[in-house]
Amino acid sequence: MSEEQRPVIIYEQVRKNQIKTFILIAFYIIIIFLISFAIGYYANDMVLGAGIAFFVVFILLPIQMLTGNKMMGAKTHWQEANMSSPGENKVHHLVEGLSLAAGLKETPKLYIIPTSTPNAFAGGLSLKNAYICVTTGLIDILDDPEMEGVLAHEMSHIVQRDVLVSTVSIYLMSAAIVLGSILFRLSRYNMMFGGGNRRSNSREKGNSAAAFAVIALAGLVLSFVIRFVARLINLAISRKREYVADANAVRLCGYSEGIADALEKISKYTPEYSKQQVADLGGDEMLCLYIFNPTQWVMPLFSTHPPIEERIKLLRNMY
Amino acid sequence: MKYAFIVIVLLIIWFIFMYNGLVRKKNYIKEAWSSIDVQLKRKTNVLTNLVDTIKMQTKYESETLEKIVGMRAQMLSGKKDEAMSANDKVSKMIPSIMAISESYPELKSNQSYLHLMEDIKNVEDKIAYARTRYNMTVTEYNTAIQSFPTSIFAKMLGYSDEKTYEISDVEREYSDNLRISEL
Repeated sequence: MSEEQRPVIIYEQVRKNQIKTFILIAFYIIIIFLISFAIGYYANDMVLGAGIAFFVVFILLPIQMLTGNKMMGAKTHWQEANMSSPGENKVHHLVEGLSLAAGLKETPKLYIIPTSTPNAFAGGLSLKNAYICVTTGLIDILDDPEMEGVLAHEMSHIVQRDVLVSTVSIYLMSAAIVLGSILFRLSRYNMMFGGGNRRSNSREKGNSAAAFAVIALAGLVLSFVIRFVARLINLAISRKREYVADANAVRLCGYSEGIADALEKISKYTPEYSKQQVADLGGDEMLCLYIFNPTQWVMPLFSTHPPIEERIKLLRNMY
Repeated sequence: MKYAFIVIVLLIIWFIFMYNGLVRKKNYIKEAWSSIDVQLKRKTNVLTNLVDTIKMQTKYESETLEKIVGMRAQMLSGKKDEAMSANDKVSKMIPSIMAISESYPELKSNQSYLHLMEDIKNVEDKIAYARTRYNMTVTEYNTAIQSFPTSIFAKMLGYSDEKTYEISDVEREYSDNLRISEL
């Protein structure tokens, strides 16, 4: 059995996960720095390269992290749960109970997205401002044990700090992609114009042109590789975390049928999303945050979520 | 000589990690217990109010009501065994309290009674959740101190098995019924 198939031990695992999270983010930051320095190298200005890296990591990243919540709110039109609505009140009680079971000191906030498409996600960069978001459609179609399962899955994302990882890694990944394409352009430019003004005082122009062609090609390949690897890593992390969250959900509820039934119901209710449904849930780039992501990729290697049938099967075999 | 030294250093490092792991796991249990304790306090408050409301509304006196009030001290004792067994006993008496409202329709229209029944249901759920967490932490700790080679040192350091408080089938059934009967 591979690691993600085993039911996991929550508390020790959370600790280990935090270390992994740190390494992962450090890894992304190193990639950003490497690309930036490569850009600096091509532009013949290392200070510029360093400047880009610092700007991306120390200015844009914090801004992105601080405003991310508001952006999500604006995209999904979520509202805070209304306690006088019996359905939402019930969900709120479940969230309170599950946060006890998960050992959280503060109950995550509950937001409701007004759309009939059943789905849910968790957010918040720290345990203090964590929140769980469910759609009205989800409240309508799930019964209590199923809802409990879904909420426990989201609770696990919160406890494991998956939200922080996905937010930071999505941002850093897109930064790596943008910088990667700048690098690609620069290297092509250098290839065409023999390096521009770079080392124009070189004595052996012929040789240096050949050298630049090689470097440029390497840059081109590198930028593709970086994009590819960044994407794969992100997807792999996301998939693995989904399995872990499923397993933790079972531990938190002590009941595996709840979440299994819920996944089955959700996936059967809307096997595919229309454009409107995607827009209601906050757009394409937010879909990977939800418990159920119907986006089908040709290769399983490229999906953010494990196939839903696989998850349901694993859950049913768990206890 | 050199290798012996390296081995000893590695052993010491392992020991430090093992010891800290045990301390951490023991603390998880303490933390988990305190969240059960908080819910037990809430439960006694709700029950006291509930008993008062029933007495005021119905002038109904019964052994059950007295017993529930009598259990308060045990539930708040902070001793795990005592508190949990008192809690289980009280939980089993709740259905008979609910039955009182069958013979006193005025209770059913009493807002504060309905509120308190809602609260009871809520707090029972919370205790179940807190218990789940407690049992998880205990299982994790027990596994750690029973596994070799930690088991050798755990005994010497005075770490012994902790007890889980599994939710009995009777109680599970009862709490399921409590959920279904939309109060």
